[in-house]
Amino acid sequence: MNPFLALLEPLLLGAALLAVCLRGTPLRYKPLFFLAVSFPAGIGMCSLILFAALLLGPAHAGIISTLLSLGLLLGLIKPLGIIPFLKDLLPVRNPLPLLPKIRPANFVDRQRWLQGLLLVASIALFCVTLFAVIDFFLLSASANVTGGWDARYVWALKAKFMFRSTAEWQGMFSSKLAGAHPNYPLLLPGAFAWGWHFLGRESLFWPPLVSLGLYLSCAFLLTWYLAASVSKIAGFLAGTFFLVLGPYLFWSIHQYADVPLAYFMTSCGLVLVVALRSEQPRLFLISGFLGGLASWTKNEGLIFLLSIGLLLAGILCVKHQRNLGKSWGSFQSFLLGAALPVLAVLILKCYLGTGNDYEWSKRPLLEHLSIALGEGPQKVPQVFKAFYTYTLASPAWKGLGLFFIAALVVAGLKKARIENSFGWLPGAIVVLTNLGYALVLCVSPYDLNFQIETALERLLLHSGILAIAFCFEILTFVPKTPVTSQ
Amino acid sequence: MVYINEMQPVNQTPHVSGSFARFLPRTVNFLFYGSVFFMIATAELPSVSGPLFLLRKEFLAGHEKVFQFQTTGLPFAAIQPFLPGKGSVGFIMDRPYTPGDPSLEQFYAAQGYLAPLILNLRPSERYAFVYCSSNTIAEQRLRETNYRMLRTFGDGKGLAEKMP
Repeated sequence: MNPFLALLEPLLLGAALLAVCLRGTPLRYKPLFFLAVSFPAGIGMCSLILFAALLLGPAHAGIISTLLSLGLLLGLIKPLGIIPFLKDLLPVRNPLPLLPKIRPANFVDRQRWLQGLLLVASIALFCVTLFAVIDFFLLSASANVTGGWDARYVWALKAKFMFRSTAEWQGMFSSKLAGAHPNYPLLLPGAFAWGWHFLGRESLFWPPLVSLGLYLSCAFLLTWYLAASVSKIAGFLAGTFFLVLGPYLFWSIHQYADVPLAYFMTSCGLVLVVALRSEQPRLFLISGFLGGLASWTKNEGLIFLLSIGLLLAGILCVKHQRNLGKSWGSFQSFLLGAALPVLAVLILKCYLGTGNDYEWSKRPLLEHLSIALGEGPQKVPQVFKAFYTYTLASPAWKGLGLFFIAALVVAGLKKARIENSFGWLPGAIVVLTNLGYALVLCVSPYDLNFQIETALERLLLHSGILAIAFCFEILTFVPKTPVTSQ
Repeated sequence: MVYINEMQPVNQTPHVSGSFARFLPRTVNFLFYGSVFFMIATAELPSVSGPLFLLRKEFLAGHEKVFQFQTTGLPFAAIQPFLPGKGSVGFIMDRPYTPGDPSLEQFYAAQGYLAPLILNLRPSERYAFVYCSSNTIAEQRLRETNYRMLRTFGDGKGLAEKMP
């Protein structure tokens, strides 16, 4: 089978999962939402299915995972029905009240023809950029189909254990295997190995195609969120802006897990904002699932999930002070969504990959504290200088750092509206995530320069898409007359 | 009133008032959209060389055999028949295992190609794969690790057995 055709299975599986979860939910721009979330949700599900098959029946895990994923797809589509599923994708008369209908830009709001022209131009710009970027991705992937260091020697290595001899797959956790990071989550290896089982061979093309699918989903996600909450022009411009950012394209061509992690963190955060605005429990469920998949992608994702879970608990308690039962209901949906991936992470961390090959883990707690208190403060200026160099002073980010600072200032001015629309949440996640990374860099026992050179740009990827969403939401809308939700 | 949703009316009063309040948002909008458009318009992708277009054509046609030369650790295919398919064997290199050693890339490539066979950089198994850069270094490393060469593949490479 052609690897391009194999992409359809996770795409359809994700779409079916979302269709079941969102049945009857009048989400605005639903087809765009499905385009943005179906593939990542589906590939995450496939990875979890393979992990479960390896645990339950390692000898036949390949065939079990293929049949399970196909069976789940059919099982979801059958009760749903093809026609109602397609009907559900059509624009609805009364979409969810996400935000008031906000005009795309104040300077064009009275001239509909200009607005229409700008919309067509922004869609055309998005399509041309998308085509150019896909073309460049394929050219670069053709030159190096196995990707960068992590892709070749960490993620693909684990995938080979999960594919070549499923009965021996736990060899990947062996303490004899140097530098294999036994406690790393397995979304990418599972996705690669699931595809190889599905195709029946260790296809060289499958990993870059998975990476491309997740990269493009980031652009569609931004487009959907901003089209739904700000304007279609803002959505397509934000999607285009994302596509011209070099770091995301570079690291996805090299098949690193940072772009998939950035996707899952962003999708969890943005769907959560929409869920909080619309108070739809099913959106909390999807947000939880996407956050859970972040924890199944990288260890940073697990910390993100814990942090956003705590943040959500706080928000819900404040929002429904008089009705804590309602808060608990929304929070339960979030937890329920995250349960499956988190269960996989717990099994991995507690029973399988219990070894840790980090220098960090071999030191006693007191030594950590002495490093944190002794050397940590001395590193602070260097860490902040590095953040400045890699964000504000770097042309690769196309001024995103400056836009973000401007958005923070404007958010301060629009405080009342931001508070009520949860528009501050993406910005808060960006700030908290990067402060957390700065803290880790300060207290880490590794050489700081080495860490900055090898990891900082990838760490910045994790919250960069949320930063774009925050900038576009804060710096664009200015409704002046009273408007009601659609 | 602006309704975020039916339950939450939000006060729409701007924080800044007068003509400044009307002027500022328009300016911010104009500057932001203008800057974003400028960033997009001035962005460019790196140039690519001619042969890549041929490779991309093969990629799109699904001709994977053309790309087999890129397989990680392909040079280790020659020694695969001499090694077991699973379990673990020692892996002896020029220097004892030190995390971060640049020469370890060869080990990772070999591990990638030979998985699920585990290559142990701290050899203790009955058999070990010797991957040194010269015969002299190989002999020295065999003495240090208490192995003896069973079969040589030349240039410090070979299969060794643990001495009692």
